[in-house]
Amino acid sequence: MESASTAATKVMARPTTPKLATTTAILAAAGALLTVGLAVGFWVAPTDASTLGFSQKIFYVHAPLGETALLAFGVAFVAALLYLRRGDDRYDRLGVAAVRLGLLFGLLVMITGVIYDRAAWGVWWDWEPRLTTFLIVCLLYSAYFVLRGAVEDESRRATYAALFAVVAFVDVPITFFSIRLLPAGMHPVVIGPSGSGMDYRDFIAFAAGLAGMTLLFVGLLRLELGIEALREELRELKHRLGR
Amino acid sequence: MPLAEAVKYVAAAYAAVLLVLVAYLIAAGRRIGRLQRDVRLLDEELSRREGGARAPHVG
Amino acid sequence: MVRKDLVSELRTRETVVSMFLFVVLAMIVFHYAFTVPAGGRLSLLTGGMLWVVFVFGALLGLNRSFAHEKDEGCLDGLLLCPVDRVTIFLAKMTANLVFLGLIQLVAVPLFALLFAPGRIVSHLPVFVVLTALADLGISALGTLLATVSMNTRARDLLLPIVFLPLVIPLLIAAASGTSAVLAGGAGFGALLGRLAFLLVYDGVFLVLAYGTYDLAIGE
Repeated sequence: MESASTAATKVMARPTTPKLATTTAILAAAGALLTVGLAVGFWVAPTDASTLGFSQKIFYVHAPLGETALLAFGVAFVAALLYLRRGDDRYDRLGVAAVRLGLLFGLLVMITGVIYDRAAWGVWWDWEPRLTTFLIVCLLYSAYFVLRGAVEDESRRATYAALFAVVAFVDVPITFFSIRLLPAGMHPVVIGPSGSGMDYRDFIAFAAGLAGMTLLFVGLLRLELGIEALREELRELKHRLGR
Repeated sequence: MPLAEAVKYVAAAYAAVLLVLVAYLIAAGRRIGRLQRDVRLLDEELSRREGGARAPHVG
Repeated sequence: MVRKDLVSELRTRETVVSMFLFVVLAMIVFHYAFTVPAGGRLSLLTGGMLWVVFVFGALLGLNRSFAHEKDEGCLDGLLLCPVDRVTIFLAKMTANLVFLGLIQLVAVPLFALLFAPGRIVSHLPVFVVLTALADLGISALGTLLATVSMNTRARDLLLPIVFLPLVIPLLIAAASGTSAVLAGGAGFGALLGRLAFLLVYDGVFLVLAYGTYDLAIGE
């Protein structure tokens, strides 16, 4: 019978969450960048001259969130294509992680967007293109998980999920343009804060926010993948134990 | 919009973001903790089984 | 291949009948659901109503056409045929397209009767083109997704969940276009944007479905 100490050494020698140090570093860097960006945005950049006023500051976090969410879905799209082409399960796991994070960021986009719209135009929800597209996109990618849950055949699950990720991502720009297609005058099409161009200080704040948010996404992605790796390990152990 | 009101909205937005992110990180941390514990448990059991199988030959 | 198409149609006359019944019933429901002062702004709603009815009717048809095959095990027989998977797609899609077209052929006059607008007749060409393009998109996307969802656990339930978000852009174009025709008698010029959009939409999803159908139908 193995002694307790030998067993303990064995467990400790096994890498559990690989590269956790790097992930933490990335997350820390993300945090730093975001803080810097926000600091610039709040203290250095001038208050918006248009009717938005101080509320425009929400945009410093809202826009990067939006772009990162779309980036996440883009990563899922590429991962799906790679999976369909090469059949490597790792791409499937990457896809799942990316979609999950995309939904997380998407949720935040909706929350900040609704607050922003209320602060800027006085209405909580106006069916305007930007937020409506995101709403549809979030519903769409929620269906991704519903689909995964519904496929019984394990060998098909990843394939169908990848298929859906591809179709869904193609649909995102289509959806956005279709909403803009509606009779003009119904919604002001606003992507960014109104006003005459961007002050360079605003730009720094935005750039920092975007970079920080992207790093955050990468860090969280690694976290998710680490969790997935742990799950894989667990599955394998269970298998070997005959469970 | 008067500044005081605007500040409330801006604060609400940022607070929401922070809240959700922190909640997510906590949940992820718990998931990791649980998984690591399960892996450790199963690993011990596995090594016990293998150790037990080998015991007669070693002893 | 075309023969397969026809066989699918003939066998499932029940599908067309159910779709038709649904569409008629839905229109009646809508009549009572939307009580609007006479004349009034109803015309703004009717385009949307029509397309909601069509989309849900199409979902019904899609569900039934595949469920029937799956249950009868016809699908496996079909796959054993030395036929290109994509041809199966085209056959199924055309079948669904025809179903949809058939019920629309009857439903639209009925709709005009129940809800009065005579504008459809005066602007028939535009309306037909718009509807045809929209139908194509619905059938292509629907057939692809139905094939996928048929192989899952909650097949009937899954299809609307995956289908509806993806079809919203099409719905926007078709419904708003139809409303424009009904309300103001819009012609080709006004609807050009929407028609172009539908064309692009159809193109994109046809290509996608064409390219991925092998995967969808599995081994």
